[in-house]
Amino acid sequence: MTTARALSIGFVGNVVTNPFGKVAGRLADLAAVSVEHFPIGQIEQVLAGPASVDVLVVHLDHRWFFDVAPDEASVARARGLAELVAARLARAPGTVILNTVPFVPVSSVESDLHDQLEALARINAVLFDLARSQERVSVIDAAGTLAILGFANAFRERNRHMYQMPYAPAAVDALVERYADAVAARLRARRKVVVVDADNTLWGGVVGEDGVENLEVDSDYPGIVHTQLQRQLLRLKRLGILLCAVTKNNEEDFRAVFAQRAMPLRLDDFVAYRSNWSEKSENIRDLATALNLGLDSFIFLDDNPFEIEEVRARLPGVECHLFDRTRPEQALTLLDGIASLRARNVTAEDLAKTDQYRGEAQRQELQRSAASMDAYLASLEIRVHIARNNPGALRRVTQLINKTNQFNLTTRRYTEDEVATAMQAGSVYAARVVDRFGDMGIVGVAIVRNGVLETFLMSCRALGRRIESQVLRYVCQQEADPELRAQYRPSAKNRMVETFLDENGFALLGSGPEGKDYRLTRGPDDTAYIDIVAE
Amino acid sequence: MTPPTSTSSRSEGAAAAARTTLDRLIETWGRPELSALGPEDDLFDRIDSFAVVELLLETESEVEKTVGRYVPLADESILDSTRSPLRRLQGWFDYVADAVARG
Repeated sequence: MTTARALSIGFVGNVVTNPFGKVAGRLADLAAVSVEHFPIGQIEQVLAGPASVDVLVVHLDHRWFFDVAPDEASVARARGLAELVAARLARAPGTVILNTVPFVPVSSVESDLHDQLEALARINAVLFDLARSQERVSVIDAAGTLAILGFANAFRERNRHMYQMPYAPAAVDALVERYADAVAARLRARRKVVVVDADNTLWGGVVGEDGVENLEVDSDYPGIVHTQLQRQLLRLKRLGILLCAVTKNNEEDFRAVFAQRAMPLRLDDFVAYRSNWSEKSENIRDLATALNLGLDSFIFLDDNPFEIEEVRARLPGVECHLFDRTRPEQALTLLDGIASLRARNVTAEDLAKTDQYRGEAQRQELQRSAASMDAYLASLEIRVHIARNNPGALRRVTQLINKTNQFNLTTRRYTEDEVATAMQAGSVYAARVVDRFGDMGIVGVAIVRNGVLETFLMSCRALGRRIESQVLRYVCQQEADPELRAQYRPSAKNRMVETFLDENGFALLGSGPEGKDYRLTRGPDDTAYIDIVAE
Repeated sequence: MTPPTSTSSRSEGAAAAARTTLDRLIETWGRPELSALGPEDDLFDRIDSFAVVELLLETESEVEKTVGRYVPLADESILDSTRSPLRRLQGWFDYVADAVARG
């Protein structure tokens, strides 16, 4: 059983930050959040001081950077802020969240207005540069968030000057949502797959009835709604999301649309599709099996409420969204609003996913044609590159730790800081798998500290080849600790590893409701067809 | 909600909005003992200045929904320990109603 992790959030700003404390409630399903508000205006003191929180939110309105108009001095102030944040992160754990400056310059002189707009953009650019170079910095778009509300509705100027609180409650709520998103993106696994319907979703009309040439998917309304959705999906693919399609159509009809119509999406943008007359829930389940992904990695989009309900009822783990083509103002903001697709950044592994999953499909084809399982595995020419305490892998290792549920001995979650600390105190192994069909990237993590294997996990897409045993064998050899301990901690999803340690040369010391404790005996057997490359 | 039309009904609506807001914040703050305060009781001494600001902002928002326009409630007296309308709970509701009546 996993329990909610504790997370401390501190707020400091040049405004009253107390109303932002509502963020604790927004994150209640992810963490037990405690909130602390530092004295108003003590930004430099808090950043330079010993305050210790997991997340430090520094909320600054424009008055911190300039009095009435952004200029070169205010850009220098932003640089000073960035230096303070970087210095804090160099000496202390935790994440810092900053915000874009919500301000609309005005001037009676046009050229001055342009200068102000440029300076404001440069202030924000300093913050973005900081976030690019510091993984532990997020910048929420406060300016954009309040612009959507309308600055006139968002700001209360009298309250800004009288009480150091410039925001109306609706603005506070909107900012709290952004803060919750920024924190959640670091705690929660991102869904990996968007499964999309075809008729009246990818295009307007029904291909089997209307014919390919009559489908609406072009630059005029209503075809533009579908064209735009395809562009958005293509953008998601470039941000590391896998695209699949399920449609009740003859396969040749579905393929003909891609062959005959000029559209943003091509058929090979989809990592897999199912075009047949089966229920969509069956097809989605089939896709999950083929891709070796859990159903809770899937998002489903369809124009038909019946299909949405069918999938929702049979596959409750799948997140379903209705695409209503008759309401483009909602339909085309749908994807941007899906919180479970948000991420702090996109790793190289994310971007390579489509190729990796297509590689997996090729492996399955080879497996079907191989004479035996051993012959198949040997033919893969598997090499596992293992690095110990490599700071360059910190981002991917943390990401993997926080999204791997099934092959995970303890389901212990870590922040990047905690992984970095583990590197200093012990060993963090990152395993990258390469075979004849491609580079899977880092798919396995082991953490050993104080003589205990406290984390051992493997991405599901690397399973079924004994890679996990060979990695564990390497870790045991490197640690050279005959008393090495290990644990299995059950969760709702990790039953598949319940006997992993028993089967790989560890002896059971004891068990209870919290799990099982082991000690190394002989360790895993060698797997001849897997080469280990130490990095 | 349809905005009330006459000045007196707008003021009454505003005072009710102030009560509703306070009740909601008492729950948010986890301060159930404040629910027992009577009209002559002192709210100012029982909440900190940040809570006062939050009460003010939330009341402005609720009043805006009730009367259909934004009525600034901020005033130097609110955080003034000798003059604050929050010194008497009923005084706060009257203050909100007067602000709406004044427009």
